[in-house]
Order: sequence, then structure tokens, then C-alpha cells
Amino acid sequence: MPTHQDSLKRLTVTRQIVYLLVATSIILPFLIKGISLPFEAEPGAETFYKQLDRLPAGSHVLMSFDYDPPSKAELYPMTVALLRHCFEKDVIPIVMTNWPSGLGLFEKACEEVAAEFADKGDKKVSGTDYVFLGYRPSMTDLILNMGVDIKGAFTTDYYKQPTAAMPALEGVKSLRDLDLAVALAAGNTVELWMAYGSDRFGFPLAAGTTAVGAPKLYPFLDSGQLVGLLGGLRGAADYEKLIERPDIATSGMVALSGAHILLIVLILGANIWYVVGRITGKEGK
Amino acid sequence: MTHLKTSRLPAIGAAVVYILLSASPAHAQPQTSDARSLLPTLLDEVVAQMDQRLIDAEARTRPLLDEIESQIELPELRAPAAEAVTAYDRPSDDGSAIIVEWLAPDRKAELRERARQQAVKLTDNPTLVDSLAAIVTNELFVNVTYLVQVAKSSEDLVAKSPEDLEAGLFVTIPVTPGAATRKSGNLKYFGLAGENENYCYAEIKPAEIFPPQGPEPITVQQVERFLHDGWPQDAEPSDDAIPVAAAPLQPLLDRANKGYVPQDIRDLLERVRLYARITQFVDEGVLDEEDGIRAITILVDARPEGQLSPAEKADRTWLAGVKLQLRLDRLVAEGFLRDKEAARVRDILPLADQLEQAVAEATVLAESAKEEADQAEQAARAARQAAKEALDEADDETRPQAAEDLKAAVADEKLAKAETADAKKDLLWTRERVRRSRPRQERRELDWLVRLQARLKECDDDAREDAEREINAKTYYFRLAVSEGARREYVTVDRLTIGDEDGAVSVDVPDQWLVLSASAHANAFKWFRTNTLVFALVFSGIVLCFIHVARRNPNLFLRKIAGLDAVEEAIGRATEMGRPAFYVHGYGGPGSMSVIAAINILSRVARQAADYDTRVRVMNLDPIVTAVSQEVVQQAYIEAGRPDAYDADDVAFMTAEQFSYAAAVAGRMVRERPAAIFLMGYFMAESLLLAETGASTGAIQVAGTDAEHQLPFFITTCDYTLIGEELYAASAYLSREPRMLGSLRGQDVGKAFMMVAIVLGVIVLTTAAFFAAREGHVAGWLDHLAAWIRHLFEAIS
Amino acid sequence: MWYKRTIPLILVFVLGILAFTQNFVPHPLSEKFLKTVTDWSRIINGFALFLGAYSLLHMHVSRIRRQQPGWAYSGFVFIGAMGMIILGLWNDGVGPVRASPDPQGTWFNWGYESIQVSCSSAMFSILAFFMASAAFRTFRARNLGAALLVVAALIVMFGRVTISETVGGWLGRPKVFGDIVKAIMDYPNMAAKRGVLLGIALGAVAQSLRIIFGIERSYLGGGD
Repeated sequence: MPTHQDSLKRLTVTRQIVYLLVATSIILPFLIKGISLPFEAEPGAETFYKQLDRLPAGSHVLMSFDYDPPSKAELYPMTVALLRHCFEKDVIPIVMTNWPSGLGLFEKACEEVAAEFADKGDKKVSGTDYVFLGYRPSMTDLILNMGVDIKGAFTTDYYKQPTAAMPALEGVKSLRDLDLAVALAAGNTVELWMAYGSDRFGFPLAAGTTAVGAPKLYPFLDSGQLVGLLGGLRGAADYEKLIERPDIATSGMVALSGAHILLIVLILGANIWYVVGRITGKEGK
Repeated sequence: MTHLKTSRLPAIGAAVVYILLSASPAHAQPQTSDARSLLPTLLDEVVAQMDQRLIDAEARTRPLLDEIESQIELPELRAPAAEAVTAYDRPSDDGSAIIVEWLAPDRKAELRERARQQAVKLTDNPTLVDSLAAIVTNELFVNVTYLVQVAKSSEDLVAKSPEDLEAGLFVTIPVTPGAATRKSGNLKYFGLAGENENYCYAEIKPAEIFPPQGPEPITVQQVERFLHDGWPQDAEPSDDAIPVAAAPLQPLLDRANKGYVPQDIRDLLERVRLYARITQFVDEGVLDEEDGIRAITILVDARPEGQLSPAEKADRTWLAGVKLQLRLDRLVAEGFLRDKEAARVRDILPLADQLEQAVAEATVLAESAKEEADQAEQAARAARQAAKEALDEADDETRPQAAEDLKAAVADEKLAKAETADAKKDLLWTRERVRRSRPRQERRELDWLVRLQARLKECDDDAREDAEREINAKTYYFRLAVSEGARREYVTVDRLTIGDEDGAVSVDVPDQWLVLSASAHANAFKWFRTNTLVFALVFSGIVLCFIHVARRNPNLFLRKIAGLDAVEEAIGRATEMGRPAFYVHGYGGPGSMSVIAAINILSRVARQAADYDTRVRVMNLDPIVTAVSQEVVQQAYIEAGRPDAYDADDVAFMTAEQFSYAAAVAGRMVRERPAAIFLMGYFMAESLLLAETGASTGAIQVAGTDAEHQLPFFITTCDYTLIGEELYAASAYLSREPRMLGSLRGQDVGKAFMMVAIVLGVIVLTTAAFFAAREGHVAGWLDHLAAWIRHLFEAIS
Repeated sequence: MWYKRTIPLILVFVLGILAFTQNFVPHPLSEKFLKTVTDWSRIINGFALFLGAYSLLHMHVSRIRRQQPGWAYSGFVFIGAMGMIILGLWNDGVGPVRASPDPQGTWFNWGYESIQVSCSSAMFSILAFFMASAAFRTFRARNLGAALLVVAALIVMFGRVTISETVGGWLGRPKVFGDIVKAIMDYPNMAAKRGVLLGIALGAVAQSLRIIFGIERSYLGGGD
């Protein structure tokens, strides 16, 4: 008769095997060169893409990157893809964050993408072609403040340049003057942007979120409170496909597929074992 | 599977069939490769045939179209009827806009009708007649432009000559009918602004059209001095000044002083005003002549900020300081500044100028350093590529050297990249670097000046807003015309009512242009949010009603919530095992609903733990929540009669970072091995980490969250889970206080209303969609009902 | 003391009603009120930092002083915190020595990228393993509901990755799995999410009412 200790030991060993298989399924595709899985962008990502793509040059897009390093894997590729799209269209991204621990990431993203375009001869100057406002505390109060006066809420940008006469913010007094706002979130900041921002001040809002957080935002997409939604690494890969710049997210698709297939096989296998156990009368575990 | 109910089999079967059907193509396609290759060819043939048919049809109809177009008489340019033109305050706003609305003649329909009449003469085929009429309309229709003329008084509209309407003082706003302007601006009821194909509207914002002017009007002498004396010897007059010089000055200034000039002329005249003040101060000796010339040189440069060099930007900032200097006497007179502060400003301004000059110089140096670094990086990259190519082409003898060269080239490229990164960082942080290099006392003075300028800007903004409010509150006069090319037709009336209500007299005045007046005022209520307010008040009323009912009848039924019933069981288990209980807060500050609910549960948990003499350790993500939790736990111990047992370190702030928090809590779980764990609040990705770790320690776990995307993780790993609003119901459930119970009941009534509304709404909208294709009384009625239902639940911002 | 509870309750009631009313009033005074209140709220929230820092320090100092089990970890708190503060302030983050290991920036940047970013990402990536083991252990088709859940989960997991388009291509329709996933997300998922969201929203409204009318007082701390 198997004892409780035996069951616990078997569970621990099973768990360790599962961990090893998961690690292998994710790492292996990065080691084997030449594997690629062709894909087309999903309709949801296309809708998001069109919202930005239709904007004329000189439009202002507020980008609120509300995530920190743990969510970097899913949301940083989206950040870079969105900034690239803005710079290609000569649209002015107004970058800010409500999560101070991510400041370094967003500064790096702005600088690297601006440098990319500078290398191609299309110089992007902070304060003129884009602005990195940085972080201010108290998110809901900040949004309400920005709804009345953005420059009052952020008197200087991240680099301590005064915003009062900044060319990148010309014509933008409050959130009502925005052509589009994008919130990339690892938490519940999209709902706060909707409740305190877009529903109140009437600007179009699009969102990008981690894969686990995307399903809860579908109702808002359906009701029109969100004009676009990108979910997880797949959403980032779709966006890279649409702007024709495959990067980290695209290269992660094979690993993602591998991990998902492994999980499906494990779950199917466990269920088959369970059903067989039930049919033969054993207590399948 | 033996327990599967047979009644569910048809549903499962249908689902499987549905999935298979939707997974397979709608029309069975031949699976052979021959059929697949045939298909594109077939499609191409069909498309080609359709194209040919279109070409043939075009060939047959073109002569008919030409005949119709040669015979047709285009609708004449007609202004809207006077009765259909109104001007009124924009409803539900802050008093910043007036709406001018009119019913535009439907020239497109008229043209289509005339085209039909001509087509009928050429063919009997009704379908062909309609098609021909549609094509002719598309080809010949030209959209008109409406002109709304806005003036501050009715006399201004015809200041010079009643016959020459264009000679008046007014601002013309062109409006092209389109999707944005084809909507009634009159928000009736709670915002049902219907889209009417033929209504046009223009939103007039007086403060934007006639912005606040300076204190004194500008004179001809000031402008002439600006034009002829204002240039430094080597400078050229700016392009903007030339139109001013060409126009007759006095009439232009009359228009400008009344506010009837475009923005660019207004900006130029502002600079004239400032020039006049600068020269006055130079004449009075307040400003050095050198400073005066420098100020004027900067003043005449109208280029946008983005086109300026760092030195020119520094000059602009210096000019802002000069403007402040020119205002100092007035600021002292108004009491905004004391004499000592004014003197301090005068002393600091040269320091501010030095700082800006230093920043400009540093920026230029940083930019050239960055250019050099970029070039060096490119050279290093090219050298690396060359070294790589050399290595690829090297033979056995030269390979080691080539490899060494490549290694050196890679190291050089890495260094060059680092230097480029440094140079970029230096450029971005130039201002801050230069500022920090100044002595501490100087920095303090400059910071004081910045704060003063910010305060002054706030006062100026307030003054400007007051001035705009005054401007918006005045009455304005409107005239409407329709324009097509050079032709223009004004809206006219045949009768005018003169005099006030008591002694009003109507007279015949054929072809008198219509002049409307209206003024904007701030409204007290946003009518388009009436539905939100009504729902909020009704729901609040229901909740308050049930609170009242619950006071009389405290035995309101509440279904069992297992997670909350398990609190006592969990604390009891911890007491028996002699191990602590852990209480883990989620995200959010004290204003968050989930945190308040969690604190409610904490008070009960702490009270029971105090009664049973069990330690409860509370972990917090927010400092203010920590303080509140400490009070709650301390109070629990006091109420249990054991104030000495309370240890403030049991309720601690861990960290505000998500995974640092998860790591800290998980670490404590593993080390201290609690017997009971409560996870209450809003959690994100760390939920599974915490719950799995807790499960591995063998503790009984009770979780409650309103983060519905984390619920699956809690449900799979915890013993009890409070789902969504069960967390909010906790305080009522645990305390059984009548007021709380009543509010829960009110909440349930609200939910019931929503369910009924959803079901009814779905039935009505589905029926309306079904009948939409059919005409008739019922279809029309259902359509209206559907529109109302949609609007009832619409939230307009 | 009566004023310790009465004054906050009055403040909550008055400000709650005013904030609610502000939503419906377009008058410029209403906007001014909003701006003033949010400005002050942002200032007050900033002081929360001191409360948190004090609480953190006090707890860890006590643990070190009493040499409670695991007190060395409390020492690491101070080493880490002081280390980053020193690096951040020393020469604007450049640190004592110019050439930091991070070629892109300063010692502070190196600390951020190498320690915080790496450790946080590692903690988040542990979730992949936990999720796999939790799914493997608990996704059993014990009854009809669980079976439907497993089937839906498998379809969504498969349809969301790019390999499904390759497999769909073999079946003649690359987008078939994506379409099925879209149908699952657009209909049953959205219906369920809407239901939960509506419930939570109503619960939040009821709770807000209780707080505004002073029925719910737990946020004040202490007893009723």
C-alpha cells in the first residue's frame, strides 16, 4: 500500500520532471538555429496597428508604460515596436510611466529606438520628436491632473527640461488634445486609464497587456472603450509582423509554441492516465 | 464517464458538429491537387468576364450619361432658410462655445431628382434610370462651403457699407459639410444627439477667435518705429513684417485692436507691443542699450523653437527674463512682489542668462562629441567587418594574425559603442550637468527664480482664464452664407421684428441678411450624463432603502460563503499547531476597494487570533495600509483584553515591489511554516507564487481577490477562495451588522435589474435587427425603441 | 476621542459627495476644484514614503537586534538599499570609478540592470514552472464541467501560438484554430468576464456608498 510519504515523493519527482521538460522546451528552440514558424497577424493586432497607422505626421500619442522588469519579456517588445512605428510615421510619442521601477527600461527603449533611426539618418531629438516625461506618484490623481493640464502635471521631463515651451508638446494642453493614448500594463492600470482618463476626457485609448491580463479587457474592446488590444508575446510578435520589423517577440514564437505543445501533451497524457485509471478501477493520480 | 447525463448528449453532439463544421470549409472543395490548381484559373476567368461586362456596360451608358449631363440644369446656389438657422449656447459645457446650426438645402437629392427626370426621357428601365441618376449625381455634385461670420457687435458686421457685406469687421469661419459637422449639436434630453443628414453645425469658441488682448491698443507710431527703427544694423526685417508694412496701417490696427485679425498678424503685433516697451525702457535707462538691441534682435526672429540652435534657445530664455524684468514694477505695484524680491530678481537674471549660455555651449560641445563618437563607432564597425572578412579569406599562415586583429577590432568596437552611449547620455543630461556644476548658492537662487516664474505663470494662467471667461460671456453676432467658388449667398429674411417684447413691430424688409446673436454661459449640469446620474441615484436609493429595512429586520438571508466561514477553522488550526497565521495584503493603497475589504477581514481575523492567543503576522505592500493594519490589529488585541500581547513588528511593511514582496513573503512562509494563510486583496502575477509556496508548507489557505484573472490560480491551489464581490461582502458577512447586510441586499437588487435589462435588451435588439430589412410601422417603431435602449445605457464623455 | 472619528467621517462624506457631483458639473469652478484636490492628494501621497521607510527600517533593525531566525537576510536589506543609494548619489550614479561593468551607463544602471532587472525577471519566470506543474496536477476531466474546461484550455493554448497556423495550413485553413480561439474568447469568455466585472463594479459602488455614508469605517483603523 503506497504511504503518504511515497505519494509525496512521487509528486516531488513528477514536479521536477515537469520543470525539466518545460525548461528544455523553452531553451532548445533558441539553441537550434533555422527554425521558424510563419504566421499572420491576428485581427486584434491589426485593429490596434490601424489606429496608430492612420494618424498623420505630427500627431501626439501618449504612451503610458506601466510595467516593471518582471513583465519585460512580454511588454518590452511591444514597447519597442510601438516606438518604432511612431518614429516611422513621424508621430510624436509622449512617454510616461506610473511604475517607477520600470523607468530605466523605458529610458533605454526611447534612447535605443531613437538611436536606430538616427543611424538611418532620421534624427529623433528628445523634446522635439519625442518626449520622455518620466514618473510622478499617485496615478489616479495624476491622470485627473493631466486631464486639465499636462504641462502642469509634468513641469519638466525626465531629463529636467522644462515642458512649458517644449516643441513636442505644442498644441497639447490636456488629455483631450491627444490623438491617441496607449497603455501598456502589467497590472490594473488600463482600467484606471479608462475610468479616470478616456471615459472622462474623451480620447481614444488602446492597450497592451500580459497574456494573462488580456482576456479581462475583451469586454472593453467590444464596447468601444478600448480601440485596440495587444495580448502577451503573441501580440508583440503580431505587431512586429505588421511593422515589418521582426525582433525578440518573433524569435520567441518558436519557444512559446514548444512550451504550449509540451503543456498540451502533459495535460492530455495526465487526463488519459486518469481516465484509464477510472475505467480500470484504480485511483489514477 | 458513467455519470454523464444522457440529456446532455444532444448538446455535446451539436457542439462537436458545430466545431467540425466551422473548422471545415463552408463549401466542399475538391481535395485533389488538380482541382486546387484549376480553382485560381476559374476565378481569373470569372473576374475577367465581370470586368468585360463592366466595360460593355460603360460603353453602352456613356452616351446616355453625356446626354443627361448636357441637358441637366444644376441646382442653384441657395442659402438655408432663415427659420432653419439658429444660434445658441452649447449645452452642458463650461461656457466656452456657441453653436450655430442650420438645415442645409439637400442639393444632392435635388440634383439626383433632376438627373432622374432627364434619364426617364431616355429609357424606360427603372433600374437603369436609378443607376444613371446616381452616376450623374456623383460626377456633377460639388460640395459647397458655408461661411459663419462672427462679430462682436451687429454694427461691426456692416461697419463700412451695408451694400458691401465684406467690408465689415468680422471673422469668417468656413464650414465644409461632412461627417463631423452633420450632427445636431443640440443635446436633447440626456444627450440624444441624432445624426441628421442635412443639419450642419459650427462650434464657435469666442476666446479662441478673439483671444485676450494687451492692456493698451497699438498705435501707428509704434508700428512705424518697429518697422523702420527696430532693426539692428546688420539684421534683415523678418518676412512677417512685410505684409504689415504693405497694408494701410490705421484700418489694420483698428481691426487688430478689436481682435479681427488672423493669429499670425496678432503674434506680430504682440511683438510690436513688446518692442515698444523695450524701447521705452531703453529710453528711460532701465535697460542697457546693448541689452535692448539684443532683445529686439531676438524679438524679430519668429522661427519655431524646434528650428533654433542652442545659443538661440538660450537667447529666447534670456528674453523671457527681460519680459519679467519689464513687469517687475507692475508686479510690485500689484503687491505680487516686495521691493526686496524685485531687486533679488534683477540680481538673479544675469546668473540665469549665464547658465543658459553655458548650457548652450555645453550642448554644442556634447552634440559635436556625439557626432565624433558616432563616426568613431561607424569606423570601428567597418574595421570589425573588414577584420572578419580578412579572417574568412585568410589562409593557414595568416589566420592567427587575422584572428588577433578581429579580436582587437571587436574590443575597439565595444569601446566605441560605450563612448557613443556616454556621449548620448551626456547630451541628454547637459542641462542638469551644467546646473550641478554651479556653486550651491547660485543654484539656490536660480531655483528660487524658477519657482517664482512658475508661480507667476500660474497667476498669468488664472488671469488669462478669467479674461477668456469674460470674453466667452459676451454676446456675439452671426451671419451665415453659402459659398461656391466666387459666388456667395447670404441667409436673408423678409420680415424683421424691431423693438422689445412690449412694443415689438414687424416690418417688411425684403432680402435683409439674417443676423443672429447668442452668448455662451457655463452650465450647471451635463445633460448627456443624466442616465448615469439616474442609475447612480436609483442604485444608491435602493441600497439605502435596504439598509433601513435591515435595521427593522436584521435577519436578512445571506448564502453561505465558505471562505469566510473557514476563518475560524483556520485560526483554530493555527492555535492547535502552535504556529502563526499569516495575513497577506494585495496591491493597492488605502483608497482601493479590495484593500478596504481586506482590512475588514483582517479585523475579524486579528480579533479571533487575539482571543485564541495565536500570533497573526500581517504583510503589507503599502506604507499607509501598514499603518492602518497596525491600528486594526492593535485594536483587536485591546478588545480581546490582551493589549500587552500586541507586537508592532508582526504588522510590517515588506516592500512596494511586486516580486520583492513575493520573495519576502514566500521566504517567511518557508522559514516560519504558518498553519494558516490568508491572501486577501488584489494580486497579480505573484498570486501563483505565493499560493504554491503556501500549499507546499501544508498550511490551510483562504484567498480572496477581485482580480478575476488570478482566480484560476487561487482556486487550484487554495482551500477556499472568495470570488470577486464575495471579498467586498466580507465585512457584512462577518459582522452581520444590519446596515452592511442591507447594502448587500441592495447590491443584489441592482444585479437583478442588470440581468433583466440585459435579457430584455437582447430580445428587443434582436427583434429590431430581424425586422430591420422589412419596412412598415412595426419596423420603424422597433428601430426607435432599439435606438433608445442603446442610448439609455450609453456613457458619453 | 470623538473628533478622531467624527472629523474624518465628515471629511469623507463631504469630499465624497463633492467628487461625485464634480462628474456631472461642467462649470469651470468644478474643474478648478478637481485640480486643487488632486494636487493636494499627490502631495500628501508623497509623504507615505516616510511611513514605509520607517516601518521597514524598524522591523529589520528589531530582527537584527533580537537575532531572530533569518536575521542575516535583514542585513541584506540594508546592504542592498544603502548600496544603491550610495551608487545613485555618488557622482550622479557614475560611482567611484568611471568605467562601470555596464558599457551602456553608470554603476547605478549596472546595479539596476544586473540585479533588479535580472532578479525580478527570474522571479517572474519561475511562474512558468509553477503554472506548468499546477496545470499538470489540477487539469483533470473529473466531470463534464472540468472536461469542457480542459478542452477549451487546450484549444486556446494551441490556437494562440504560431504552430497552430502551420498545422492549420496542413488542414487547408491556416486560421482555423485562431478563429476557434477567437470564438471562445469573444463569446463564452467575454460573457463570463462581463458577469464577473459587473458584479465587482456593483460591489465597488456599494462599498463606496458605505464609505461615503460612514457605514464602513475600517479604513480609520481601530474599532467601530
